[in-house]
Amino acid sequence: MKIRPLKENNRIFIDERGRLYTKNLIEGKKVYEERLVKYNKVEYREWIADRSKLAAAIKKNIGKVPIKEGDKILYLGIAAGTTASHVSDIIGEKGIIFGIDVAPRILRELVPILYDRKNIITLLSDADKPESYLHIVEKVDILYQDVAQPHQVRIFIKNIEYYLKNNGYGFLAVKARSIDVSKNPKEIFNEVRKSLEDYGLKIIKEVRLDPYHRDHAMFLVQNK
Amino acid sequence: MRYLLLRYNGLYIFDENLENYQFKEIKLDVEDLKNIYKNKLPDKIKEFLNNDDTFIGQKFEGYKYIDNKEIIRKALDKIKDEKYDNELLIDLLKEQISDSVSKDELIIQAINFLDDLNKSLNLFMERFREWYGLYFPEISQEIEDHEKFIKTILNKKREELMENNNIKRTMGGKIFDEKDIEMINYIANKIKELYDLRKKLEDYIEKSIKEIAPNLSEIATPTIAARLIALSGGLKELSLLPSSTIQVLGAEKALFLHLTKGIKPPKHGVIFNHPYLQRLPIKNRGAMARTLASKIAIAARVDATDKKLIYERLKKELEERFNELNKK
Repeated sequence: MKIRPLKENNRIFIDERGRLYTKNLIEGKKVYEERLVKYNKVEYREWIADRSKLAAAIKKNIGKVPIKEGDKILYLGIAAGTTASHVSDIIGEKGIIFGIDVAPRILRELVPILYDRKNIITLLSDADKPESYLHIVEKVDILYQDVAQPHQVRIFIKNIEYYLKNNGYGFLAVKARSIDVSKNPKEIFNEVRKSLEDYGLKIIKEVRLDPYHRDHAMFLVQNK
Repeated sequence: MRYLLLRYNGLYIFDENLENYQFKEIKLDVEDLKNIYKNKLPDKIKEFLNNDDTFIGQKFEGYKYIDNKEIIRKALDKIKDEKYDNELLIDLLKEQISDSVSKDELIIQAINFLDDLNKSLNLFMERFREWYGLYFPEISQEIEDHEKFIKTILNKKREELMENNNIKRTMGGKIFDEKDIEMINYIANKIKELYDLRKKLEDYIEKSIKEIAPNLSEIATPTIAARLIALSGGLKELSLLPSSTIQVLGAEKALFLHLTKGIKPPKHGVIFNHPYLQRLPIKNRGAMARTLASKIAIAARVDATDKKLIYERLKKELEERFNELNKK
């Protein structure tokens, strides 16, 4: 098996069968049920598209993934840290993730990971109230959001206004079913696109995440 | 005038146009950080404040703040390359997680356990009756109630049971060996213990729910009250729901079919088991379910706030509505 870097991001890797990987920041430790593989004496963690919306978006050709080594990231809806752990691999020790989640139960699963990965800080807070973490979070290069809330677009924009650097990038994972179960997902994604454009964000790419995540889409946007 | 931004490691004091700032390093501990979450300014900050100071975006009780996005962005731009104290922030997170476990959560676990237990008991009893039927089918047919059945046959042999229950002969029952009887008796004993457990669990739920939601448990019955709290995620969450949602809590499948496929909407969710609904003819249950849900909503809201006892009045109104519908 050969593992080579993606041309869209040289800290994300792929094998011949199209499986994605990141370099394991904490050697020998898994975060979920991912496989660990060694290639040229480097340990990689498989990044499973069914478990992570960002991995699914990469598989569905979102194109350029503007997350760099040393980046600062505000991650809304960090949950058990599946995706965040791979982002933590990408940004390395010099970067930092500010993880926000409102659900205490799921954060319990994340606590052991926080002891290993010093580049993740996590706060039990409501992402709809960005002022409640002004004492910890700073300006960030990337805003990543995956919250299953009906007003997820409003939350995204509020946090961009507070924390995203000018020209910084935002990833928005949209779950159509949590906005409105009765509407056609396509209609919902169009509405989301329009709200993002109305706010003045540049939409770089929109991809549907089927079949990895049903009725989900990922938007990649750039701030003014 | 000065603008202030409180950070986990100290206080940033900006001048009026946010160009220059001073940083006062202040060591905050977990308690201080928890206070910040509750919008309370930690005491050790107060000595640094002037009267006309304005906090940037941060709403502390009794202090001025400004919500302007431009100012917030400008202030955050000045903050760079901080060294975060991971241990402190993990300790804070762990405390917040542990603080979040409330009495509601215990009730939710208990009622979900009760539902699982009921399902398991039904499963066990179906199998057990099949098994026992090989030995003495008549008694199984005679006693429909599972719990009563188990208590009747417990530690008794067929001859004894025939005499006690006035059954003259058995058709098709097989004479079991001593070891076969011993086995079914052992199982019957264990199942009986599960019924005792169920009783204990029900009493526990009733007692707990009366403590946290005295009005709700009177109006909805303790079991339904506990189920409503479990379905909505907590008493506070339940108190924020409109009565139309409460009416169909637990009937999500039917509700979504209604919303997506356009079938008839459900009339009731878990409140279906309420005695007032059970005792009415089907055609009047929709109206009763609406009234019941609205009284439940009021009771939950009072319980989530001051727990003043108002259930007498609600009960009276509910009863009037029931009598009115019962006559129709």
